[in-house]
Amino acid sequence: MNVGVFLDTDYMKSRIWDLHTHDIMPLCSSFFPLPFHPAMQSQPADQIVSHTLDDADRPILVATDGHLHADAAFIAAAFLAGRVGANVRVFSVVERSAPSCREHNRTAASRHDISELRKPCRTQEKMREDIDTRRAGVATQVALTVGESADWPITVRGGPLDQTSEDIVTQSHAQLLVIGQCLARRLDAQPGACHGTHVLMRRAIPIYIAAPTLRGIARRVVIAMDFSMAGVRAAHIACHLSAADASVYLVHVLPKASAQDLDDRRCRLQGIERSLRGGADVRVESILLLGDAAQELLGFADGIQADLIACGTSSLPLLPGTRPYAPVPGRVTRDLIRQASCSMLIAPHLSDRQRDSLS
Amino acid sequence: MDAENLAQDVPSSIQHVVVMCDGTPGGDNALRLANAISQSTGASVRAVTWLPVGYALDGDAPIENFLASVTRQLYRVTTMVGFWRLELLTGHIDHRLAQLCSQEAAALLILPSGGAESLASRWTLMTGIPVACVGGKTAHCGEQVILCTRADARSQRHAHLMAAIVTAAHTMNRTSADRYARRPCPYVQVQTVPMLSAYFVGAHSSSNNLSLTAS
Repeated sequence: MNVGVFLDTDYMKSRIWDLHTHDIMPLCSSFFPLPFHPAMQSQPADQIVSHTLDDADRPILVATDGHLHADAAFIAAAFLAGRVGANVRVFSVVERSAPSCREHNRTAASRHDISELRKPCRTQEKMREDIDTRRAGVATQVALTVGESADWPITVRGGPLDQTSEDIVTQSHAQLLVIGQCLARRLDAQPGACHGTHVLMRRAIPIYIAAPTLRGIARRVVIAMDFSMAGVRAAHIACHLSAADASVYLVHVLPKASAQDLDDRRCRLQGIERSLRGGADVRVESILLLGDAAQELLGFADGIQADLIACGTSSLPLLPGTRPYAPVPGRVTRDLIRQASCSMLIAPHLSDRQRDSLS
Repeated sequence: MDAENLAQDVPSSIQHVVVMCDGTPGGDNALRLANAISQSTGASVRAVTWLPVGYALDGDAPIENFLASVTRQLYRVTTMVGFWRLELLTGHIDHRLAQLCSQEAAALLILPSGGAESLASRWTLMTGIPVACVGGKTAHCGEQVILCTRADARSQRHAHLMAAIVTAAHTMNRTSADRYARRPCPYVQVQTVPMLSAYFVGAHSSSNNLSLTAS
């Protein structure tokens, strides 16, 4: 299993996440896969069985710039790798300035172009120097958090952040990405339409957001269940990544519901609960809550001092006639990322093409 | 026991840990490390002990007294003693230890400092798993862990996995100010033990032949 860690830096910003689902599709093909098949859309949740392939040879990818905030992600990666028996790889990208900047004609440049020209132009030598500096910084961070003996390979490349990161991730066939909590929140605070959580939702690779409060492998896990495919997938992945004796709380929140609705949701929760118990030794308990989804989940997680909150990012229904309850999962996921004090696991929705590749 | 096949049985993940508990101050360090790993990874811990060579068996209930001292150490050092199991090994210790690690599917064996260092290389060959020997604090390096492992590729990979976990568990328990201080020496040093058949012959022949009936 492979883990990736992203740190928040100015140069990274939201661009590191700006990869397209179809570009990283090969990454999702064997990471904690469920047996996705078009016919599965109508398959009851309790009949979904997690089929974990032999991921031992697939590395965990960690992306970093050597910043201290990524320590929690590195430590989480070590424990997750120990849990599932995976290798860990580290990568960092030194962003390359636009190569054409030296070729601009100042006299002919517009006001906008002139502002671009003021950005520092980096030569190849400068880039190599930056790469060496970054490599040394990352090596120091690895040594201070998990030790040099861990022997985690470090890859540092220069180039456009998104494309270079995409290339590295694709080549690594990573099955899990671990990022620091600071980055996730910083991405989410970016102005414009490209919110971090929106970008996260496009990821086909599960993402583990390590909080500074990390105490090790998760023993108390809250699964925010919306009955989506991604939500069920998140539940199975969370169980796989948590301690063998973990307590898992399968939580479904409704804004309001009739007695019939509650019975219906309870039955569905129990179905998923059975499927989780079948695949692991964890203790699973189903919880139904009424109110705002994000606030109730956060309150519940704080109340039990949860180590991990797991959720999916899909808004697609799993069962015929089942629709995601309000508020929409995207908002809930964003709120959880913004406000959760514990670590988070986000399982992405898989596109039809991704499911086909698994089937 | 087929030495070549031992590594094939080493679990790829850390689910169980065996720690040697001897009642000495060096044993405290080993137990603290086992405790930190257990809390960080969720691994279960099996504590083992055996009567030291030359232990006086006369007097009133000598074995019970010895076990009581070891149990007191467990309670004093660890926070999860209720979930640990303590076993008194008797007979051929090398063989019993290898057997226990295999039965428990242990991923790591932790030994205290003070005489156990010489056993670490022998037991990593015997058990097929990495053996961590927790050294006492020194002026130069502070507490340090020597992680002995076999030379085959699978064992090396497993040892690097364990080294990361041991260091990460140690890092988590350090204060934030201390965490970012550059240590003069790495906390974990991996030592590769060459695969020599003489080790196995020696290990068997030098086994502790003390045979006890725990009553």
